[in-house]
Amino acid sequence: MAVVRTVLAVALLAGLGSAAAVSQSPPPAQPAVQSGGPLRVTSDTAEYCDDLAGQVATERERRPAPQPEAEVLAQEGQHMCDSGLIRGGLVRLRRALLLLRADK
Amino acid sequence: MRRPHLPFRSAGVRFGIIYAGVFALGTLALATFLWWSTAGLLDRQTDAAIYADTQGLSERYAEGGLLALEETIGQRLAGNVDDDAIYLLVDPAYHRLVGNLERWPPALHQDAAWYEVPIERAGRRGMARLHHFILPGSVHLLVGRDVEVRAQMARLLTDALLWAAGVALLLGTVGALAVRGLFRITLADVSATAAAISAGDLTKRVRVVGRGDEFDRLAETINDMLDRIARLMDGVRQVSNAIAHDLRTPIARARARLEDAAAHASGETDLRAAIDRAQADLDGVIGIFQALLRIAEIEAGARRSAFAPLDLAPLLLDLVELYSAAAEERGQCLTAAIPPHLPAFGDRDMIQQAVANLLDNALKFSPARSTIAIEAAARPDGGAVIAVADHGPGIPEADRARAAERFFRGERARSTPGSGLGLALVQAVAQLHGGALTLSDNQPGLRAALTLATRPHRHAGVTQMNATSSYDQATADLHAA
Ligand SMILES: Nc1ncnc2c1ncn2[C@@H]1O[C@H](COP(=O)(O)OP(=O)(O)OP(=O)(O)O)[C@@H](O)[C@H]1O
Ligand SMILES: [Mg+2]
Repeated sequence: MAVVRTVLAVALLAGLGSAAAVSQSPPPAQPAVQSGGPLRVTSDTAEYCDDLAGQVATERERRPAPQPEAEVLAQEGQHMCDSGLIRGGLVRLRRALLLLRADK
Repeated sequence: MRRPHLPFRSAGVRFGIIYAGVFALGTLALATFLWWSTAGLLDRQTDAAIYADTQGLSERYAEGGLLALEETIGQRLAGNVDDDAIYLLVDPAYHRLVGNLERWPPALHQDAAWYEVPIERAGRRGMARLHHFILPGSVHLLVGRDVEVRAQMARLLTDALLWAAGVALLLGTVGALAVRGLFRITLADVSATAAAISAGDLTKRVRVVGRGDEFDRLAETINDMLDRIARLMDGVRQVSNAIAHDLRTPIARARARLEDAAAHASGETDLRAAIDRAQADLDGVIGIFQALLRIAEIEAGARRSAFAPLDLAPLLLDLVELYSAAAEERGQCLTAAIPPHLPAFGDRDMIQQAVANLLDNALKFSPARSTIAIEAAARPDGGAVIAVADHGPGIPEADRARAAERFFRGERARSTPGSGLGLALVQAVAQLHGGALTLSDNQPGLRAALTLATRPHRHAGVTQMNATSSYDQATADLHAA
């Protein structure tokens, strides 16, 4: 019996310990009232691709010398966006933009 | 008395449930920890990132105003390689200024509140965690992260934990059944044994499996207890049989004499002689009773209060003197080897009686012209040993263990007078003094050694109270009769 009691106590302590730890986790989020369906995220679109491509072009003009890696990424991105692979295109354009800005 | 067999009254079921409960608790604790250290960790990281982002943006707003804020948000969106950031900045009328959410979510008006909001990304649905922040000038800012990856992971984890819970439940049930079965099997044997014994079969014993575990030890203890009970019962049965048998003969003889005298006595002298003989027979019976009571009294330890330090040497010399005369009468020779001082601790009368019984036997069973030796010595541990050795017929090896039982008389002793209580008394005295009576072969003859410990045996005191009262009861009965 003593063994059983010890095991029980240990298990309880472990359970309580983790429960206490969980209670310090993120602030509770309220589920927002839904009306008119889910909110659309506008940065997954071809327009945003164009927007980013424009930004890349602006950055490129500002530079004295070309950045070969960024060039390749920008071209690839543009190409993917054109062929409908929006998210892949966006990632490349973003990386190109970051490279150009970091070099300045 | 007996309660019905309800399942919750079964200890096996109870232990099974406890086992399953412990198992479930352990699994739950493990699952909680797993969740906390995976999905919970991701949540906390996301929240920290959102919070840092919000802080940075509000600083930017404080420094450069609305334009700077809009530009920073645009830059952050453009540089978000992970593609999970969500921003929305609206004016006091909730018109969108900049960001990647199509519109302000309805019912979000509370400053510094956190929300989980369903979103749609390129046709796929997901979840976003958003932090609402009202900046000076009633500009509303939403900063958030797409947490679809986390949600997927949470789903996976929930699935895994559900499966684990199922397996744990199964294992717990199997384990509980096993525990219950084990208890049933082990206790079934014990209770079967107990039932058989209460039904009268005293030979039944609990099976010892041989694993040496608690159950085996319990079984051994129970078996030891049953053995002892059986021995005691045997003893009681043997003594009562012996009493019935040994006392019947002298009483029947006395009755026959009286009957004969009543029928055939021709004069007062004949009658008186018959009465005298019957009286002697009955005195013998009373003697046996007295001896029995004395042994019972000694075994009960009732006279422990008379224990005192004493010198055995003069006591033994007195006895030798007494028995030398008797030995000479029978043509025997009694030699003694006794040290000048032999300290001991005990009851003088009892020890004297015990040694007298040994000498009595030696004289009684040895033939004429044989030598009987009595020797005494101190033992290295402080006790004393007194040995009486003769060259008579001795006791056969097979009988030696029983020789000290009450009423035991050897095959060859039938012709000699006696009732078989002498050695029983010696043994009782030895045990009360923490010693023992050892019978051995003297080649030829018997050597009986009585050992005494310095201090009396601790054990004897424990039985004292119960045994004394039963002894008193027996004496009272006898006087009443
Ligand atoms: N010295 C001995 N030599 C041979 N046999 C002995 C000797 N002492 C005891 N015995 C055997 O042990 C039996 C028990 O002895 P115990 O002294 O108890 O009884 P007893 O002498 O027959 O009767 P009681 O002592 O009551 O007069 C004897 O009957 C005898 O058979
Ligand atoms: Mg005797």
